[in-house]
Amino acid sequence: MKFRYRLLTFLLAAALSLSVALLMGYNDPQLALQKLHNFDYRPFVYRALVPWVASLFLWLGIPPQWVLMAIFTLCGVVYIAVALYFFRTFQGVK
Amino acid sequence: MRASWIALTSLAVFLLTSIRSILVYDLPTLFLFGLALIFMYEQRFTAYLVVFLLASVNRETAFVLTVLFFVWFFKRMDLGTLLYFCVGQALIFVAIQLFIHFIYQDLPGDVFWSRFQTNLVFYSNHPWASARDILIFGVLTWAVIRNWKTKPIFLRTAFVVLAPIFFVLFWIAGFSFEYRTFGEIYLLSVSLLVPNQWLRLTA
Repeated sequence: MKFRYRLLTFLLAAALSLSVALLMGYNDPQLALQKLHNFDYRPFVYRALVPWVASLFLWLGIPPQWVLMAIFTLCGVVYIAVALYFFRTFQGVK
Repeated sequence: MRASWIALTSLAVFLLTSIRSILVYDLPTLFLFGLALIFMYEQRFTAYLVVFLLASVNRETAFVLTVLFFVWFFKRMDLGTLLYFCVGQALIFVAIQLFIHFIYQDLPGDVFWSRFQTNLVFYSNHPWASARDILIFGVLTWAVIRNWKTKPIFLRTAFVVLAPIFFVLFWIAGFSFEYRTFGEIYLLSVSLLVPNQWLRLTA
């Protein structure tokens, strides 16, 4: 029961993140490429973690819109995992 | 059970309130800061430094973690060890930022955007939206500080140290009416917003 409930939570997070990604038009290759490189504009471009990770997948030939939507969805799921870990850590703490 | 819904709701609220302006580093900002706070509290310093390194590559606001580190451990660690960790974090941060600034130095834009005056003009031109935002900030702050002493001391300290910094940064460098700039303290604020017993993972 606990496992199924947790799985449902992560699936809902993935569905939510992916829906928002589609709503924002991230399935457009041109926009995806711009977003993945933070528009190549300073100071946004200084936030380099995701662009550098994405570069690896782009280098492998994966289309930018797939890379962006996968990263965005995965980030939503990881956020939920960290949030649950955060809540567990601080629940009941004085 | 409640914790899962709180986590999902917080994700939905963040995504839907920043849907027009969200950037690829925003969600990583949320969870990297959350992880950094956990590891700092649990004194898992190797894990903390790894997350600090990733957070520094992800966004320059990671420096505030060192400020919190210094304040939290000031009376919990001997001064030599504290300085060792803080100087270490400063070196990591400066090295990463210098490297990133160096490789992107030829791109258009500025190293830092000051939008303070633009924001003031924008707020004065949109009084109703400004009043709405003051109201939202007021209600959220009230909800966070309600039953203040029942909340974990680490989260209270983190909020007192970090929230004013991000409030000032929001006015100086953020875009008016764009609240994703509070991503660093989002998970922290959510945890302080709800009663602590609601954070239980099982009902």
